[in-house]
Amino acid sequence: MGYVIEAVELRKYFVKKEDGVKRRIAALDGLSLTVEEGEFFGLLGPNGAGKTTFTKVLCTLVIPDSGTARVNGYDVVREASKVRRSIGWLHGETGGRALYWRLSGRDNLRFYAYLQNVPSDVAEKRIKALLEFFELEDDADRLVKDYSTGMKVKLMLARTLIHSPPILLLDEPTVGLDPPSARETRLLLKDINRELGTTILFTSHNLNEVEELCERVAIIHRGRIIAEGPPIEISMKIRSRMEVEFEYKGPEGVLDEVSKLPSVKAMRVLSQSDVTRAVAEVTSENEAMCEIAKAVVSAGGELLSVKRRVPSLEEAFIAITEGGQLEEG
Amino acid sequence: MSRSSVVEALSEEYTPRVGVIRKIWELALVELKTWWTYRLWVILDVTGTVLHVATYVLVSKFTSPRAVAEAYGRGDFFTFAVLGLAFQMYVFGAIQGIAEAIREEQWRGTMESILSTSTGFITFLAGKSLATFILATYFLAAALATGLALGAKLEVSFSSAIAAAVLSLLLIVSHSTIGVLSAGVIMKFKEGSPVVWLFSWSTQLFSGVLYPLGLLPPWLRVLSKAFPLTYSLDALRLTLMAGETLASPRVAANIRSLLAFTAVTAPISMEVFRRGYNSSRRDGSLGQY
Amino acid sequence: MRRAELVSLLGEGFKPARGGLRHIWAVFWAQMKIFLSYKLWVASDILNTMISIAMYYFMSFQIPPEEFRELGYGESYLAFSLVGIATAYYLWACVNRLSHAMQHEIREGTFETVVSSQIPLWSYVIGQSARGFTTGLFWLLGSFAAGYALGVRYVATPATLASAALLFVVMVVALFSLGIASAGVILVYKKGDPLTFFFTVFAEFFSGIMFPLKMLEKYPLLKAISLAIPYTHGIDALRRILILGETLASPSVWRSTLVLLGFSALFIPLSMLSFKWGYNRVRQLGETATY
Repeated sequence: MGYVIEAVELRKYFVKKEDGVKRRIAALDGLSLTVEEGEFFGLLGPNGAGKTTFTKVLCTLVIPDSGTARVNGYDVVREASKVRRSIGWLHGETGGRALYWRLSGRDNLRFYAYLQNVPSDVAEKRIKALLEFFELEDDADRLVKDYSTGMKVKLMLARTLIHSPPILLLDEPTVGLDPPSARETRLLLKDINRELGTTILFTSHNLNEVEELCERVAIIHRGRIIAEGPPIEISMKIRSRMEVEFEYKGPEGVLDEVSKLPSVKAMRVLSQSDVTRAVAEVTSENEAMCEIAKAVVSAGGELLSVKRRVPSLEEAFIAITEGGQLEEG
Repeated sequence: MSRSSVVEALSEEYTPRVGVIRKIWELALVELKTWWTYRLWVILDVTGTVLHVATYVLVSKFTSPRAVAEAYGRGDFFTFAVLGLAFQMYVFGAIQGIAEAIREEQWRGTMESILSTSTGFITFLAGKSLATFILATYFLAAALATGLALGAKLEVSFSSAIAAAVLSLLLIVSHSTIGVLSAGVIMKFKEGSPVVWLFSWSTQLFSGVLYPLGLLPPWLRVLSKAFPLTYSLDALRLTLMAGETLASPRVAANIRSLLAFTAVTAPISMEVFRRGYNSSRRDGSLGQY
Repeated sequence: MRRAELVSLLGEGFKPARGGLRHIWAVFWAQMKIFLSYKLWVASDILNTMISIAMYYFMSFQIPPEEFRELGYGESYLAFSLVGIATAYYLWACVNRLSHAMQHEIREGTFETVVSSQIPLWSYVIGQSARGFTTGLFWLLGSFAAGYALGVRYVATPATLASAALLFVVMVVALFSLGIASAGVILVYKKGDPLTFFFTVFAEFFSGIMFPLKMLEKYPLLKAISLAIPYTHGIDALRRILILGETLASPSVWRSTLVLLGFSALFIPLSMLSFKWGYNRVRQLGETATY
């Protein structure tokens, strides 16, 4: 499988004037990244990390200062029009601004179907289906200015999908959606990715979302990729410490016994009532799990569960950005 | 700054004491500062005014001064036109300024944030209006200066100058009510410029900017009485072209009409604005463009 | 609609429709709908036209016909100024609308979504302009109708009407190139630009909308500037056709037409460069939208 998105050493600087002094701010600082065909790729980072600039470079709206990027094999600078034929781009952060508010929802979709070269008969069928799926059919002929933010976001999603491009560049697509709609949207994107083979680049600062959807994740911080891999691997890489979580019923002395074990470095209790839930930081997971199980039982406790604890992406994310300065958001 | 010192700074008590005048001035200042960032536009506006006035030097060469002479004793079409244009552009500039400022604030969402503070909408409006009337002065200055440079002759004595100053003040007050009215319409309908444009054009037609009102058929002359600019222009021309003062009965009559106009329209426009403001709060579209 | 159905529908392949005119039509259609949704605007536009024509009607009372005739464009100042105003405002409205619409779309973020789609930017600008030229046409015809109601009688023979129409098209083309150039500037500076200014105030004075060009005879510099503006030639020729009954066959009209064509030949490549510059510049600055 080839790479459909390939960025090499992308750099983009913006000049900002602050107190009369011009400052050069790096939005992309040597960013390199590849996404394979058919992949569901997550790009994760705080606001201002360069996610939007990167997707805008890919959809030809921003010309990089140096470095190259290819989308579907085409250079984003020299072959911009071919790139545009391969993509669907959504900038969710605009909160529904990027629509024609003075047109109806249906007319918005029609307009973009025209622009994306979808033949009218195909377009009408798709518009109907998309409006139905996003539950907009009752409001389809009202002007968009009267839509709620959630409805606008749905309309933007529908617009992005209408020509079923081989590559979707979705920049924070679920911002502004209520949780059920966001979930339904994620499921739809997953299906589109799986069944139509659409490559999806998905940026977000919502960690659970990316964890749920993506096969591979990169973390972007200050314009460069600082970690990349499957969601689990990424979080493991970042947090080198290993943890085991266990639950038991039994006498107080159990925790003391466990903490004396050679493979246990530290302990913390998550909850303690009838059942005690605790986490042990360990040197070796498999060994520690056996030792903890034995120790609980020999101290007179009833072991309910013991398992490896995978740090969530959220924790990974915090750990990784904590070192540097976390931009707002 | 550490978290604790921020908390400390915020915990210092103070008595709220920002006066209304101060607030109005601050609001105006923001507007003036924003305006200054559009310097290029000021230059273009001034150039436009100069050219606009210059047009009428040429037009005056084939225009008969008879009608002007009948109305103001002096057959000088160019001076007549310069005064008309200068003050018409001035009020139009100011009213359009208010409308644009409101739209801009609505668009940016800054209006929402201002109105959510303890500043009331009347203060808000007063600040905006003040700024636009200050800003629009450059239209007036440019037009008068061009006119004088190209041969317009004003009759300026100490008492006529005072009269002109008083009349200008009345001009501002009476036209602010129209600005406020259009601001209310913008709040409600989110498209106010048409109203402003319509007002501007009607003013040009009915207030005798380019011709003495004697040329209008009688039934249109009645309509012209509805525009404060009619009275303002007539009085200003009487003072600056014919040298009359506040003591002259014609000038005094115009002043009375202007005061009456303001007394009637001020409460109406306040009410319209209040309704527009409340209605956009009700449908939650205050921050919409 | 179930997810699976939607996915399979989206999975159905299709042969992409051809762009070209279809793109232009789409922009035109959408813009037209948007324009008509501003009902208050449309209504006030019409009213404004009527009012401004009425104003020049009263103004013309002060201009003695016998003196005006000596300036070479017939007796009626109203007929004279109406051609100038109607044409200039038509052209002004077109360019201004283009500039306005573009600024609006940049602010709204729709510009970005359009540019990242498959439509070439050219088609977008042409579609936008076509809307302006079409709506402006109603304005223009309305002005002439209002003038007729106020007693203005133009020479309307098949020959003069055909000449006027042809000349008009040539003017629109010359102007369109300037509009494109100004679109390039707007892209970068977001605000309306000096070129839009040029269309309004500068041209209003120098192209002799309100006074016959003879009035500039005494000022060679002003006269030279006025001849450098394409409007001047177009409006002069239109006046000759509609007021004096000349046609394309008459030398002065013919000359003006040639001058306009010359302007277009010069400006079209220049404006394309300007537009291209603006488009690339704005992508370098990363400012295809300013929220």
